[in-house]
Amino acid sequence: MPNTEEQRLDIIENCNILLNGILKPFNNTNNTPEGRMITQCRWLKEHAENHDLPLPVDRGKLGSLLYIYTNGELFTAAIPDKDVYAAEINMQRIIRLAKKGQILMKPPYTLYALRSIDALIRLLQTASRPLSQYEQDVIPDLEQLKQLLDEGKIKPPLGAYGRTYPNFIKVKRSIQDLPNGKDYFYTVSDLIFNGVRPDCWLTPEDADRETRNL
Amino acid sequence: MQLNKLFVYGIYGELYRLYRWHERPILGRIQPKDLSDKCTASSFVRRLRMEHADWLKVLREMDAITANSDISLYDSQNDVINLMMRGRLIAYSLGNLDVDNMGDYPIIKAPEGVQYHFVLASLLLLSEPDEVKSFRNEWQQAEEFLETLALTDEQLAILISGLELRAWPNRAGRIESLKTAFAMGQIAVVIVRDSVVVPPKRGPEDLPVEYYTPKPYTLGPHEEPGYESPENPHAGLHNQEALTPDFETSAESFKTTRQVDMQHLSLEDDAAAEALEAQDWNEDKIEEILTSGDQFSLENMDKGDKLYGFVTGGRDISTLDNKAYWLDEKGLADVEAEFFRQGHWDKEGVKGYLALPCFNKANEMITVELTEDQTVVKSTIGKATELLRYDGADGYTTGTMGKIMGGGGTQISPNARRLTLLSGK
Repeated sequence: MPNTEEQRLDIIENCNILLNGILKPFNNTNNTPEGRMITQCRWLKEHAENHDLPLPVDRGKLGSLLYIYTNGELFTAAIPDKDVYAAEINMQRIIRLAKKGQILMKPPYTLYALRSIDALIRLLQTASRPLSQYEQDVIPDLEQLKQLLDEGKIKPPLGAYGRTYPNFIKVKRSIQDLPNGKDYFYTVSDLIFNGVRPDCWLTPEDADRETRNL
Repeated sequence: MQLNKLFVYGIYGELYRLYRWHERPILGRIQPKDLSDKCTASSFVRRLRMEHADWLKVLREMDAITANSDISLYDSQNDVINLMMRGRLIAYSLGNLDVDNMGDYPIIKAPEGVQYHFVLASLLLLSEPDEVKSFRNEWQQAEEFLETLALTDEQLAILISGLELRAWPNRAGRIESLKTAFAMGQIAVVIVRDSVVVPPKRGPEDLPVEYYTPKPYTLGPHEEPGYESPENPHAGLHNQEALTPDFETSAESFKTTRQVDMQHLSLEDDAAAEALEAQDWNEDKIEEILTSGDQFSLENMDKGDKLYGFVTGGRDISTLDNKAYWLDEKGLADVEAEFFRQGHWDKEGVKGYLALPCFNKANEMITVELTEDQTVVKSTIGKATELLRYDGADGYTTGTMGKIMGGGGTQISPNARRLTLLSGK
């Protein structure tokens, strides 16, 4: 699991976005979700700034963030919904960085994400067994995602598969019997929907090396 | 038989105290017996000196009588074993302690009508003091507390002797003995006051936020509009109006205890995850929902069915899209049956049963309706822990303490985008 300078700076950056954004008007009280989020972000930020935040962070230290994020506690009349939806991206990034010790998907890695999507499409097209309807339908989904990502029209993480890409839900479970199916699927899913890149893609050079022969 | 004061003896004369999970004590280093596996629970229950009729009373009190309970002692024990395995009934070993031992321990008088009764922490299982200070694993707080007491040498000698602690020849060593005993969870202090003075309410700007919770509470079947009975009869710090729950300023707070590996889920968890994905929850939220509960199952609900949520009053919810935790009719009825008595919600109980973090005050309920038929995910709420303290306006504080919320309630995670608000804000 990586523990890099890039992650440390990303935690600071995303905490700053929340603290200076939607949390700015609120007091640092411990009895409200907003106040708890301020405490949570300040704690993470200060520890990251002091180089005292080994990753992954114990779940117990992230309890407020995890509950507030999951149960939509910031969606009140006090903050416009669109701002909270945007902030949820930052919250999700902090969760991935701090709780899972993962590294974020960023524009310099787009080329390698496209290669990964291609590899998954090829894996499905050359499968040694007939594809299910969902597996057949996910191929145009992947083509579309590839195009949108290449054109910069989507910015990971996209979040849930549910409404827009329901085929992913079934394929996630059916593809596991194909050689490399699980690895390729989770790589693409993490890159696009969860906004994180594989642990071994520490630099673009690493990502190039890892994806060149897919 | 009062279940919250149920002392039972084992066949060798050892004493145990049984608690309902939401009434379990949280102080000192006292830990309940681990009865989570069937073998241990069976062995324990069948070695207690309890008659068939005694267990039936316990089961009745817990609303856990089954079709088999009446058949025999063996069958009633099976029902009790089941409760203990599920953590609904908790047992603490008291060894050979006796409530009369309480008087053996030293009392230090402080100004303003306050007495500090230093006792073995395990004695707290035998009595039910209102105010207790304990400093398990809190070395600095223990030290600060002892400093504020400014004990005389004579008082220090009384404490060391009365608590049978190591009697160092010098004052610093004796203070260190006391501090260590606090931090190791061996001793605690029961605070006895001549009278508890609740400060007058002045206005929201002067008071901690929980002092100014609008009244009457909007929850529960009141006898008439605006009805509020004069005192909350329920035990537990969370029910004391004179105390404000607050977190330690560290980030450590609410934590669910279950963990899941999203790439290696059990069949039940994966079925729940698949349903949640279809409901448009993302992987990070699904992981949190899965760690918040256990015994996941899918259930079909119809358009028009109602769901209920406990929320903090005064926070106008702008969208329901992201609220993951709800109660159905039965879940709400269970909460009411268990925790609404004598005109008051047992907030301590509700908080424990639903494993709610402290910033959810659970003092208002919202009702929503499903706008279309859907498959929802149902689960039993799991245990959670948090660190918090309770503060009084007079400067009294319990110090930071760990709190275990036993869970046990039933939660529903629906497609939150297919709900409409009926009542509440």
